[in-house]
Amino acid sequence: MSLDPQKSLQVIEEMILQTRTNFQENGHLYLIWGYSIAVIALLHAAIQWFTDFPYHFMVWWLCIIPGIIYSVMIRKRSSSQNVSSYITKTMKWLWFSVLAFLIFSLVLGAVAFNYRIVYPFIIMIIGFGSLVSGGILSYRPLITGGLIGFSIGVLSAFFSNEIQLILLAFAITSAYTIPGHMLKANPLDHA
Amino acid sequence: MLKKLNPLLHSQLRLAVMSILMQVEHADFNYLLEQTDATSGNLSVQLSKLEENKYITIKKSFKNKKPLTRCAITPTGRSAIEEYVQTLKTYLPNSNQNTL
Repeated sequence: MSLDPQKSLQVIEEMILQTRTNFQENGHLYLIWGYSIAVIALLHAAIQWFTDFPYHFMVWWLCIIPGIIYSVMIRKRSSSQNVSSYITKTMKWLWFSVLAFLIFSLVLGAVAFNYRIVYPFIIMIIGFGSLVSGGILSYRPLITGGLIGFSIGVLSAFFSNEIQLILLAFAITSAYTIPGHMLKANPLDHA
Repeated sequence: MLKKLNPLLHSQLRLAVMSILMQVEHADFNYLLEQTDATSGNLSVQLSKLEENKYITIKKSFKNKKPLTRCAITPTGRSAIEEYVQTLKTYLPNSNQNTL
């Protein structure tokens, strides 16, 4: 089949776009964690505000539920996966690093510092994860959401622990939930 | 005078395969089949041509008792497609070259 240069250009562009469309599946990651963390953060704030329960932070153990759901989804997907992209590999390492940072921040918050000091950094790293992912995928909603999340993190340093939890819910909604819905609905329109 | 476009890449299916493999570590035969909408026979032939010219590597194995054909681009293939795109740009002076 003969090709003219314009057609060659079109073939290359189409293949690049089709490979990128596969990242639509990443929408699940943002939705599962976005909704879960927002709900748990608001629940934590409510327990702190309305009860005298001393172990209010135990509510974060609920993260095990979305963790299990997500692990099952990842396992299912990897068994049917027939392509390994550099972007997927980069994203895996990025989110592994973000998760490690979150866990160590929470441990430091519990043993060495006050949670009020640690939460702004947690919110900032959540924004950072979306910002870098958005940059890698050239996906504007994630970049914008990440920047909003990061800014909320900086702002949260000036508020009480309860307000920080509400700000965390806002940050995760901007950085994960909204871009996650947009990514699932139409991954290329906003790129 | 315009430079000649690499005839091995100047074919719709081979160009599509190379464009995909440029972006991934490796891809299976079925993935390439899905993405290019080609027939199995035609894709096999074109992959063999790319392999003969050392543009790609093809590894055959089994996964869950099913044959698995895994393709990956080689440094030679990568240089060839980069050169192809550079040459293509000289043919398209007024097009949006930033997309490549």
